[in-house]
Amino acid sequence: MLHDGAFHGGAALLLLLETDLSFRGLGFDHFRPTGKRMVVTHAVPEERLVLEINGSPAAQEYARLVGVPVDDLSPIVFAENPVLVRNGNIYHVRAIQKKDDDGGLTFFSAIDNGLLLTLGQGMEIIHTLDSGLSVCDETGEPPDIVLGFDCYLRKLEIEHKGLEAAASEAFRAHRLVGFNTYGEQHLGVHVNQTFVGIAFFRPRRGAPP
Amino acid sequence: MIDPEEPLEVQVAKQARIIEALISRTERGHEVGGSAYSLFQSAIALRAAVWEKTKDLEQALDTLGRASTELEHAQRSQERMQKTLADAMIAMEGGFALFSEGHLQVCNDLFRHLLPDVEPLIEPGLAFDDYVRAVEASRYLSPRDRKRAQGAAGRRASPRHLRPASKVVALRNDRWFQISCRQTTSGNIVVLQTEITDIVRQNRREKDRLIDQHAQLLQAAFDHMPLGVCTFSAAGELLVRNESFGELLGVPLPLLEKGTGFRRIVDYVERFEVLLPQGVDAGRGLGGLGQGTQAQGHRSRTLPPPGPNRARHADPCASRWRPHRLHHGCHGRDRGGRGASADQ
Repeated sequence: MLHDGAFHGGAALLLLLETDLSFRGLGFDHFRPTGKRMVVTHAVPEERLVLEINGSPAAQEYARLVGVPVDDLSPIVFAENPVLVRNGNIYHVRAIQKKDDDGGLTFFSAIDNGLLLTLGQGMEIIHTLDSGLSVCDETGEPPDIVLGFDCYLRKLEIEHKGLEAAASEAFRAHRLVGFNTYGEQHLGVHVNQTFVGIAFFRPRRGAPP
Repeated sequence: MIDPEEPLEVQVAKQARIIEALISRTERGHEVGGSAYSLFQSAIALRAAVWEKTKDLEQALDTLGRASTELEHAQRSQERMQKTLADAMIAMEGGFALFSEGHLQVCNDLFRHLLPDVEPLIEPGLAFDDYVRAVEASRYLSPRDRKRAQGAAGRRASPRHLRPASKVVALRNDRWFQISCRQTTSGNIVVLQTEITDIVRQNRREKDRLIDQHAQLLQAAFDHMPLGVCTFSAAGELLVRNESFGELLGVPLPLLEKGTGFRRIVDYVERFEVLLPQGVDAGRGLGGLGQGTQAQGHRSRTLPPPGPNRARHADPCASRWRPHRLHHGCHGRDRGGRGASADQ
């Protein structure tokens, strides 16, 4: 946290807003599951560290399923090939932060032994961004402003694919301001590689000016 | 799932690892999880429920917010109205009070201060009937008004609608007020106190002026009538007389002043023979008047009995005395006389 001209570790900013504007929460990603699965056979949950997948060293097994040499693993590979966990009918991204020297993978969010992971496949990111931001209030009006938190890994993907201008255009069109983030909170759940935001609309009729 | 290119033994070993991990996790799934991942799972499981609740809560808050806004609007408008009402009440020249459901709601200072002994009672919530009773019993009403009000209070059976809509009260210091009660359509009672002292005093002056005017007219007629008129009190003292009375009798002015005894006038007339006896009783009749007064000392005898006494004037004039008993215990005496002038 940058506060009073200095950075502070282990700190957070909690923002409580009171407003007469009407608003709604947004949250979406751009992945769908593939048929490729893996089981975490050895992990250190406290460190979000996965040492072994399918009984093999984690990085090596992940690289094999993605189809890249293990030495080519990089943030952009992780960004474009996330692993998903299934809860009911919904898949959530468990984003990989980095490849460790000992062949393990460090994640951005909680992980556990015995988890069944599914390899995700990206959809067109600008298209999903545009449709995800196309919201309106009960009278059909678009938001006055959207406060957005977009995952850093999404930014990496956008940059890697040279889509910065298109993304900026979509953000401008939807009157978005905000941050790139490591991990987002949406409806009380810590998620990765998503866009999360709040769309603010005009006050409802009858609200004070 | 496992690389099929690997030797079978390795594949079997890896499958064993997978099976072990899955079984272990399945077993741990029955425990109440405290791990970070189980919290993530709980959050997801609860998310739908939380989302529903949040929406309900948002709606409730929204409804509450709107209700609160409306309430605020209503309060603001009420405050504005009260301020306007208060300003209007201050600007009013008379006392004003509003009784709602029979109890005082608002009033202005003039209403409060009209009767100092009622003032301590005037608080919001004062019952209208109590107010009326307190006003009727106030020491500051003129005694005549208080007596009348108390009489009215005794007679009143207290049905509100029979109460006089408006009445005039007089205060001890000669200030006059009209107190009007009006029932509004919503069942409230509005009381107005209007000071009418100026009007009452103006009326009074007007009345006095009219009386004076009449008195002057009467005096003029009285002075110029051919009869001589003089009134005496029951004690026989001169009260009023006109010009002709003195002229016809020839009595000097000092004897014609107010308060001169009847006897002295008679003495003067007899002494200077202003009157000559005509007929048997004339002179005696007059003279006997005073003596009768002295001798019997009875009021009814102080003045001569009714009936004309005829006298003859020395110069010569004929005159006739005619005493009348007046209502207030005085006697009037007219002297009918016709100038029996020498010519005639």
